[in-house]
Amino acid sequence: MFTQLFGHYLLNKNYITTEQLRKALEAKNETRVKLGALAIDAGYMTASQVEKVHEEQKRLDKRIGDIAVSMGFLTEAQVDELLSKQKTANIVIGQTLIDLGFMTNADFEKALSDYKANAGFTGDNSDDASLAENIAAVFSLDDMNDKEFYIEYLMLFIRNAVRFIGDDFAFAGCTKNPETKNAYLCSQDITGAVSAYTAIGGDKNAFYTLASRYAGEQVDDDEFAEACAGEFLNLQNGLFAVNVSNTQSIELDLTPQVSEKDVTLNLDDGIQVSLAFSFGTLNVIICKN
Amino acid sequence: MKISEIKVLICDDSVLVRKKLAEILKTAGITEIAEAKDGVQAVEQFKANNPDLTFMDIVMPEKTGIEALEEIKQYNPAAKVVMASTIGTQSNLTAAIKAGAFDFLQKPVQEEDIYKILNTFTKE
Repeated sequence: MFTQLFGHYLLNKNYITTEQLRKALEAKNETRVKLGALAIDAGYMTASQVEKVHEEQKRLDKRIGDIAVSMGFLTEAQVDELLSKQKTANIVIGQTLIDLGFMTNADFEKALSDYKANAGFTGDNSDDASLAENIAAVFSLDDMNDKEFYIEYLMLFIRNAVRFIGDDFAFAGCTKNPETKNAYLCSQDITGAVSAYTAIGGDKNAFYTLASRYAGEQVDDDEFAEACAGEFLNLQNGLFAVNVSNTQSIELDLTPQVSEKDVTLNLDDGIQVSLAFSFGTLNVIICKN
Repeated sequence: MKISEIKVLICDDSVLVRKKLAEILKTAGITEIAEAKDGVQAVEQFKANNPDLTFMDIVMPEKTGIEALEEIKQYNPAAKVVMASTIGTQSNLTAAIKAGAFDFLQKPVQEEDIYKILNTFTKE
């Protein structure tokens, strides 16, 4: 979840623009995280030390790790440790932004250390408790009524988005009591002891790409796009109902999905969370009744 | 009964689910497939086609899958109807079985689940 959270942080603090983030999300799967960025992330080297090693490498035919060791910045053991992390590094988004020239090593170092120091964020968000904490902080949900409901719903949505759509997105923002307009919108009501309005929307390109990625095939017309996006929402809500049934012994039902175009919503309650994907922005609207 | 001889009816309001399910069934060797996109059409199509095996979504417009299943079982108590839903809770499963479902299918539809159902069906 680092990409989604760190991407949001960079946007929020104006390190990068939405367009730069979009390009980096698109390119990140081709990126190999370099030793320098890993060393900064681990706190073993500063950005200026990394720059010095890079300068040195231009003159010497040696590997970065060997140069860093010879300059006394890293130990052999640290190099081995960093190399072993290279394949699974979660800072790939930072490396991509550096590679594309949108951030310098120094900006990256500052942003990363600010991000880690920021009170609302926990460094490790692999477990549910810290993910919930991060979501509450990123979307400022702490003062919401029914905060737990929104967090539970969003945690599941984010996991489903990563699993069925892709991880090339960052959290772009959250609006409370949203007034929102979506060119394409698919909605479904959760009914029962807990009831809520849920929807996914976006412009044509974002909506069609969501549909196409979920279906695993080309989507060329509105009817099929709406069916695919609708099934994704239905899957999300179905799993949510199962989770609620398991944890709270409450049985929930769902209404058939409804697809609409050019919809303006004025909600007195609830939230709209925007996810900035590499292909465009998707809006998730949730309003607990 | 051979798989290739099975007449199937797919009832789901989502064109995506109907398409994916039909693709899996065709790959398995089934050729006769009818479709319905809501609960009312499901009952009509059942009466018109008399399928050997029916796949029925629970959440559908006009009439829910459970209501359609009850009507179908009244019309033909021997009907074999597999109920499908994204909500795989115990209560949904119980409701489906109580209404006379042959099996329960957790969505999203997985190829191996369909093969298991076909396997059980052909052995009956």
